[in-house]
Amino acid sequence: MQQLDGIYFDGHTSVRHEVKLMLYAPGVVRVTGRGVERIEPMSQIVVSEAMGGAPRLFTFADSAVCEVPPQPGVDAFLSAAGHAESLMSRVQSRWSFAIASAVLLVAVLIVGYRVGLPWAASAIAARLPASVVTALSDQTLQILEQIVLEPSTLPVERRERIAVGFARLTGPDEALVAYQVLFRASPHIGPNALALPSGTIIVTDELVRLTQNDDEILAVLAHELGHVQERHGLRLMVESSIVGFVLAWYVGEVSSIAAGVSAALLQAHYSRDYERAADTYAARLLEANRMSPALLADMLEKLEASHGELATADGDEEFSRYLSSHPATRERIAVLRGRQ
Amino acid sequence: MERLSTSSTHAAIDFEFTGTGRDYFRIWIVNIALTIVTLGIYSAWAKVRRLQYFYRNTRVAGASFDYHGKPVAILIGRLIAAALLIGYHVTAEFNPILMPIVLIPMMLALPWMLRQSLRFRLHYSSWRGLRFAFRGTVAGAYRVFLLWPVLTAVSLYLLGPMLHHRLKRYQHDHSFLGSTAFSMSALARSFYRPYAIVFLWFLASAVTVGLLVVSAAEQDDLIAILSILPMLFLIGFMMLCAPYMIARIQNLIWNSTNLGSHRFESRLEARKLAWIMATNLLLTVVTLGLFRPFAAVRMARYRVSSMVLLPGSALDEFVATEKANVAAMGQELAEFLDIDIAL
Repeated sequence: MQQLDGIYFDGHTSVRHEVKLMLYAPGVVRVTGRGVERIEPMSQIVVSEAMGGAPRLFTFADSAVCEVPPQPGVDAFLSAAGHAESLMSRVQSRWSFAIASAVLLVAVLIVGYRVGLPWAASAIAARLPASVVTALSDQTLQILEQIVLEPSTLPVERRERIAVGFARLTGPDEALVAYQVLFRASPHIGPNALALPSGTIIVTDELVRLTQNDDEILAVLAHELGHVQERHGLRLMVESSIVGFVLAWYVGEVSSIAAGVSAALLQAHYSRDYERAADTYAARLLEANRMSPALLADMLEKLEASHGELATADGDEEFSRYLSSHPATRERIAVLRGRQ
Repeated sequence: MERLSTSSTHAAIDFEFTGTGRDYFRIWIVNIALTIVTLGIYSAWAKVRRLQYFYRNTRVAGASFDYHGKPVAILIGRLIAAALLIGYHVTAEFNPILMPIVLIPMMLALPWMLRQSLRFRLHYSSWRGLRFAFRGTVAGAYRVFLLWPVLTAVSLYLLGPMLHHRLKRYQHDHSFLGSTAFSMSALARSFYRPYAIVFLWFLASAVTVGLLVVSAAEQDDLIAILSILPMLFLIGFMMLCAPYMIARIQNLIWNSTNLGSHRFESRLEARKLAWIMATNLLLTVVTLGLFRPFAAVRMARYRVSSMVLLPGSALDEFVATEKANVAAMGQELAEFLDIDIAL
């Protein structure tokens, strides 16, 4: 009859008893050694999971415990005693499950990142109360005003012309969301426009000065309005929170810097999608108002050219070449021109 | 009476760690996959399995340790902790004026939570079939976790090592195996030495980095100043000081800790620890985290195997006390708030 070596502790004292475990009857175990004699049905014993080289612990109802160190015949003994290994116990002991877990993990991460996260982000963004959205945007605007934005030096007539022109646009399918256009000078940011979730659209003087054609500015504003309409800013915020949380959890104590960097890289993918979506919105808005989507393409080219000049002026030619041939922007321009 | 004089005849017993990276890798990867698939719910079960693996593979005097924490209790603790944390962040983000209303009760509850954490951790640990226990008083918790930190801040951190000493003494003087008490005899002044050395290192390296930044600024190399140098500084500092502190403090504490008539010896070497930490970090980053379970096992093996038990009498004389249940909430809250009291 097969038997196992074990070490028995009665749960009341630390006295160590060397014992033998044997099958007494089907489903009944006998533990015997100097000063120990127990016969217990397996139903009264909790057997710990298999965990590599760790001992198996047989815990009795009165909290006595018998440690069974790794030895040949443990599995055979347990199955003869009628012990069914728990699912997790089996999962954790096999490499096939480890590899399957790794594959599952990668698959879940990819699907979650591609499908689950954008869905969750737009659902959450759509449910954020307006007061929260306003508070967030006001806070951001305040910080921007303090750090990078200065009062606009554009002629008041030009600003008004653009604002009135934009106010005349009507939505492609429904009413436009509430928005507010702010003109600001910003040598730091350069030619650019940005939208805050509350509908505040900031255009820099530097961008307006890139062109004499106000319609091109309207095209840029239409693009920014697309971001507001589809709540891109909020979605990005929700996404970055979730990505950051998961990464921080996985990377853990290894390095918070690594977590930050990888979060920023993963983020880039979403923001490209959002740019395309905002382009589409702008094109539809422009078309609904009998204007050409090519206006936005013209403006993108001018923006790119100006970035290139800025970079060259800094003496950083490698950088400028990279920017001017940036495939994402070229692609966007081609798509906008292709709509005609 | 004869036995007392023969205490020196009890041979020193090494602690040993029997886990392997390969075995732990399987548990770890399953834990991670299930935690993600269940949106974090499994993390409570994952934690129990992780601790069980490390406890059961830690052996001394022919017996291993065990962890008995209940996953459901841990899960509830985590949910409460997460709710509090979200409340805290939402308040911080949207209603900063209300911050004191949230923060002050949290600060006041913290000592209680940390005491709960200590109680939970020890109550659900066992060796040779006997449970450990923590019986520090609530008043004691408020002294070490609230009064001393405030005093330390007021003293411009001159009392920092003193705080560390009081904290370890609170922990070790109120811990039990069964009904046998632990006690720690280290003096506060011995905590000052490692802190003083780390402070001098910090000063020396900060001056060096400062000089480098100044010279880089003269060459207008803004990016280098902004990102690389302070980062290198931080990494280098952590690589040297963390292992030094861990080794010194662990040795200091355990070399002066008694369990009844038994004593301990800890022989951690800062240099070996630094090597393990640096290579672990490097390999973990290179393998995108897959080395992590191997790193954890390597670290545990070194830390455990540097411990020695010096029995003062037979090890058969510990006896159990009555059992009591301890809530998991404090521990999870403390963990979520990122407070580590392991050092």
